[in-house]
Amino acid sequence: MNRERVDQMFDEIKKILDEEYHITGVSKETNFRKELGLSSFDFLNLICIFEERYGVELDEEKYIHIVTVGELCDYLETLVVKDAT
Amino acid sequence: MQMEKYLDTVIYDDFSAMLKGRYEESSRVTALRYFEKENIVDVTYSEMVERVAAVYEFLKKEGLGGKHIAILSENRYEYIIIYLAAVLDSVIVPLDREAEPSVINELFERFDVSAVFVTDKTAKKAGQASEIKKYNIDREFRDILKTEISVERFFEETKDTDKDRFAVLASTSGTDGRMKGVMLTQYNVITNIRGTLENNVLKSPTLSFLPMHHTYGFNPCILATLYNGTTLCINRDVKKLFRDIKAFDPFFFGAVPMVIEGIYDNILREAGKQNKERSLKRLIRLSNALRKVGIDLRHRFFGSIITPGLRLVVSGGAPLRREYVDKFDEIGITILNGYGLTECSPTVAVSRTINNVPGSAGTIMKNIDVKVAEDGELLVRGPNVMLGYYKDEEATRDAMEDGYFKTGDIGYTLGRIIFITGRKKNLIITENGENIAPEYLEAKINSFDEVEESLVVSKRVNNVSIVCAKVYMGENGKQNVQRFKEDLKALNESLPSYMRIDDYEVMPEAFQKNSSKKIIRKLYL
Repeated sequence: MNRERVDQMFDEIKKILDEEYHITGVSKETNFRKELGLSSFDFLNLICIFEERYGVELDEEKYIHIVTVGELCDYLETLVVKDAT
Repeated sequence: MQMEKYLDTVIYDDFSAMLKGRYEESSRVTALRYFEKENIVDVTYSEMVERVAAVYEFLKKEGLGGKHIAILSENRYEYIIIYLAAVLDSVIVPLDREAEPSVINELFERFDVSAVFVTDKTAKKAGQASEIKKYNIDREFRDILKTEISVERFFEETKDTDKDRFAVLASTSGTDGRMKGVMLTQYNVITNIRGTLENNVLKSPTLSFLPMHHTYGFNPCILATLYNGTTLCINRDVKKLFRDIKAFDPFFFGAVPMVIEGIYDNILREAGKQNKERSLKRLIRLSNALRKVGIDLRHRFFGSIITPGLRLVVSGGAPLRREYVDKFDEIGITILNGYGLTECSPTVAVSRTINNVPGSAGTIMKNIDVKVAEDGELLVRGPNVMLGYYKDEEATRDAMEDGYFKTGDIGYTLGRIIFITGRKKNLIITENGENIAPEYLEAKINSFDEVEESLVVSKRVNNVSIVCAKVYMGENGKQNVQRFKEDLKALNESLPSYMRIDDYEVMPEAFQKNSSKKIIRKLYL
């Protein structure tokens, strides 16, 4: 896993959370439901935004298990790398 | 009892009669509409019936008449065809595709499943049961549809289908966490979908996006539309929900509170992004003022916000916050509350546009009798009430009282209007309508070596309800927190996403118990 790319993903997630939900101050440990109060509908909306921006398709079997911002960064990084190769 | 005047509808008492009626009267009307990649596909009523006939004949040739046929699939049109074919002479067993493979395989065995329809996405989950026939919809459905049978012969063969025979085996959460099989007949289901049409006029088209394995997602949304002879649009991927709402422009959809709240919040967010939030709110205030003097311009003002044709949304599965009913009303969309349980096929009551009583769970449907027990529990009797739980006579006995089904919900009625005030059972009902038995999760948590006892509750954080485990790990519990976190993570990964435990709390002392050594749950809610 490329740390630099994971950090880039993290910056991107922070930007989208701010633009869409006016949420700031998140860390990689931040929990989408417990701390940010995103319902599963909101989370799905977030997934759609990523898919549109990166032209990738996130696997439902994978993203339904994502709980924290860091886990989403890691997963997106693997997808973007896979897509590039 | 206050007399309620219900709407008249066509009468079909079994699915063969319904299919025949629709074949004769609506043959050229689009029954099913969905996206195939970027293209919209239409299936007329005559095409739909021909496909149901082919699948019916295929099942017969495969020796599956009278057998239990499971379906483990994402939402798609083939699901509906298979359901309608199997219900006539076999038993259809809709299963949750999100369930763990071990749960699915346990249900195959306990529900005596002989065959299962899977898809490329779900095939792996059903992989372990080698003695069960498997049909992959993605790979085999086209060929199955080639099975030859004339529609006339199909109607002839099915016209005497036994409407009172056990034909649907639906799943519901048991308090021990194991799913219970709810035995329904064609008559249970068909009178129930008719009931929804006797409460409200359903114009075309309607949109379906709730999981099809849920009776609420399937019966009042999908089957009621087909009974009605109007067009059902199918959303195959919730991620494409907004695209489908715009493209299909439905008059109606059934939803759960989480989606209704999400759609409204999305409207505000989109308006905010375009710096239109203030003008939208101003327009709502203006519209409200105009309505007070009898001028209703909501559809002209707000028609394009979601989609111009949308007028009606039914909220079911869980209670919806009252403020959202008002918010949608302001932009011209009526939200009706519905109330039901799988054991009741599922609808007991649904609000009527002509009498939408705020805070109620709706008007009790025709031919359904609801009475209130001495302890406030709502009891339901009618043609919609299940035959019983599959191979579980004890649970069936416990659930029934003098012909009435004991709902476990506390409430009251005013005339034919029903109000729900609480629950007798411990079930946690999530905002997307899923039921979670806390005892099931507690048993899993109690099996962790470091945990002495636990309690699973629902709590509200930042406007969402989350599932929280309260755990007592002995006097030196704090030393075990790391281990607990690891065990909890592993547990969450094995659970369906709606059951996930979002938070935990380490209790400083053991839970208080009653004289029979049971935790006094209400102290910790």
